[in-house]
Amino acid sequence: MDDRGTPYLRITNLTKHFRVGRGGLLGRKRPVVRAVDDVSFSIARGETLAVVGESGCGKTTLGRLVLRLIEADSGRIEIAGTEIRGLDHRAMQEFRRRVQIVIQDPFGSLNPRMLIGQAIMEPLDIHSVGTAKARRARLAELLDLVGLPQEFAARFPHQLSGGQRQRVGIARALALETDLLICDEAVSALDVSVQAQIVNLLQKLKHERHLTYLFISHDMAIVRHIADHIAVMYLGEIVEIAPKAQLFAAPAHPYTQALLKSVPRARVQERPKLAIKGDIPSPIDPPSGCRFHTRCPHVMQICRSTPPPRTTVGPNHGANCHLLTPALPAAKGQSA
Amino acid sequence: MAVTPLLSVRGLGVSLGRAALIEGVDLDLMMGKTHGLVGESGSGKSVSAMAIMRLLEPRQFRVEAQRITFDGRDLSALGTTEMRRVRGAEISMIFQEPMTALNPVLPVGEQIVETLRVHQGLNRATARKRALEMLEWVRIPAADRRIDEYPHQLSGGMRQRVMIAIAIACQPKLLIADEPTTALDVTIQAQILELLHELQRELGMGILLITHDLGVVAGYADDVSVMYAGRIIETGTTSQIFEHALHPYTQGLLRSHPPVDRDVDELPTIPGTVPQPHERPNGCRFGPRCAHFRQICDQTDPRLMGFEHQHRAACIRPKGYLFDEPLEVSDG
Ligand SMILES: Nc1ncnc2c1ncn2[C@@H]1O[C@H](COP(=O)(O)OP(=O)(O)OP(=O)(O)O)[C@@H](O)[C@H]1O
Ligand SMILES: Nc1ncnc2c1ncn2[C@@H]1O[C@H](COP(=O)(O)OP(=O)(O)OP(=O)(O)O)[C@@H](O)[C@H]1O
Ligand code: SF4
Ligand code: SF4
Ligand SMILES: [Mg+2]
Ligand SMILES: [Mg+2]
Repeated sequence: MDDRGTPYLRITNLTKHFRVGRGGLLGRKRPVVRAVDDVSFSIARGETLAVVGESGCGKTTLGRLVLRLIEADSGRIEIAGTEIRGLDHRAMQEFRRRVQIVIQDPFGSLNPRMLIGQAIMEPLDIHSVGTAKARRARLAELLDLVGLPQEFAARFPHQLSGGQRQRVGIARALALETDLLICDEAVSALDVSVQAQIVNLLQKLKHERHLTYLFISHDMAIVRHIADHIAVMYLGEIVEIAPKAQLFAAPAHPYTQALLKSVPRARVQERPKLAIKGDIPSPIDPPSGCRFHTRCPHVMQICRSTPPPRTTVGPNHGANCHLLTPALPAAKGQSA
Repeated sequence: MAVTPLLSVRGLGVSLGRAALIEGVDLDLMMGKTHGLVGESGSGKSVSAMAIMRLLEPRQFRVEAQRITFDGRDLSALGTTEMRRVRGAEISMIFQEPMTALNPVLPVGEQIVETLRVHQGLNRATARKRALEMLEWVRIPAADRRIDEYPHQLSGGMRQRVMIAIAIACQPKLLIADEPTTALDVTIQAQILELLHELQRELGMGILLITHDLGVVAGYADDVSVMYAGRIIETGTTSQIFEHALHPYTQGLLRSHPPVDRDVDELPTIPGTVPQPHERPNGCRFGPRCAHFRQICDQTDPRLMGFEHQHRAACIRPKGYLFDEPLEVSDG
């Protein structure tokens, strides 16, 4: 379904289940969280793919799988044409230089006793890149790139604001020859005035350095601003994937439609629509058939038993919903 | 209009040691209406609410106010016991993270029962019956089963519903909701906001809606006050604030979050960050970040000034700057 040339990142049938809790009596198996289930997508070089969805749908797990911070159960992860799941430790180190992550709370991830300069340089030290002099020059360049004053190199994390720490996280992620940047809620914890600064910085870096982004977020408005393509996840699965303009103009999946309607509009007396009822079900033993069927306003009989296949609804635009499959209405049973 | 506000606050200030956390806060809230209090992190929204509720530890914080009138009484003059009674029965509060506000070792139904017994003197059986009604009222599915569950067994959205049930159990006249949906997913947020809106219509209560999300306020508030670095810097009706913002900070805030329903080329930003209480500048506290700053802005600490009916802003050149230079950003 993809006609965008050789992808920089290609994910095929990626699956990760977590066993949780204790095994039950009578030798019952431990419950399984289907955190990422048969997920496929690709991102062309220089593009931004945003992954959106509600809490617990598997966004963070997906990002960590791509970095191999956790190992997948099955599926393929190809970066620039190389399948990385089979790489040994040494070969993987090479890829780690090119794929980096920026997470939500840089405070938690920065060592409180390490100076900002040291923190930014740490990836270069780990990979023993360049002479001491070259590294100092690189540090100056990186601080500049993310818009931090040079003297911040000699500060500690607690002496920086949230937005400044987020810039440190980005500088650190770009210290090596990064091609692919995974941003996991990288701007979510920031105040809007600072959030806008970081969003613009990410946009600028993307153009200047031809970066490819996997941009994980729950904020549809930020995603609309930053993404080229969008994948919508629900309970471990991608339910719709489309170029940004198509997704916002003609969302095909009932969940995507609900998500868009729920976002407050910042217009006077215009209230977000009560698009769907009910809570997000547990990812442990998710609903049978279409996982969205417990909340879907269009649920039909077939939805409860049969997982909907991916249907192409436009160029590079696919969605998994029985309403979109060209089967006979009789086969779908009555609307419930 | 000569309608007496349900809540009227004048000159509320809170300091901690030498740091003034909030200064000169004025607020009016009408019966049955929603007043949105917005601002970025650390601007003083929660401290304002806690001061109104008299929940700040007096040995730590210094609170002063010209007056805090609620339903005809001066709250700052009430004794501690009387204030505690007002807090449970007439003013309620809900918070961002219901997990921390709920008792983890008590079934949720029991927590409502306790509130009802303490404040309304109901007997156990009646209180339990009423608690079940409350859970149904806040639309908890299978309420008869959920009533005996513990907070950790519920989803985030359901816990917030339980908090709301406890808060409205005594049919308060005023509900202070401090970031009631910030921790929730957007589809659940829509449900909770709609629930609060319906309950408000049924009970006629006033709501002080505290949030950093301007979108939430636009849809649900009648009036809005914007806080910046410890002060309210603009206040007015929701349409005055959203359609005719006067203060450069309000304008910046409104533009810096991208809209979800149309495309913008570049996101306008406000340079710098919100100053901490001890690093607030002399003169206008927004001065160092303001695109319209002029030397004169350093010489006064502007207070709210009236413009049109109800609409007030703390900027000494709230219209003048419109003519200085083309605004950096267009309204798109
Ligand atoms: N190490 C783990 N062990 C067990 N379960 C896990 C583990 N990591 C994640 N999960 C579960 O997998 C599911 C997906 O989690 P994940 O963190 O990927 O979601 P998310 O989409 O990033 O959510 P959020 O928006 O809240 O960050 C959740 O149900 C989570 O509880
Ligand atoms: N218990 C406390 N001790 C010391 N300082 C405090 C305390 N509570 C609040 N402050 C300070 O008072 C100021 C206002 O804080 P407040 O919690 O009211 O902000 P807020 O507008 O509610 O922010 P947020 O959106 O992050 O909740 C901040 O500078 C904060 O650091
Ligand atoms: S498959 Fe059925 S339940 Fe699922 S989204 Fe489509 S209509 Fe709704
Ligand atoms: S008083 Fe001056 S610095 Fe302050 S907001 Fe108005 S124009 Fe800007
Ligand atoms: Mg996550
Ligand atoms: Mg607060």
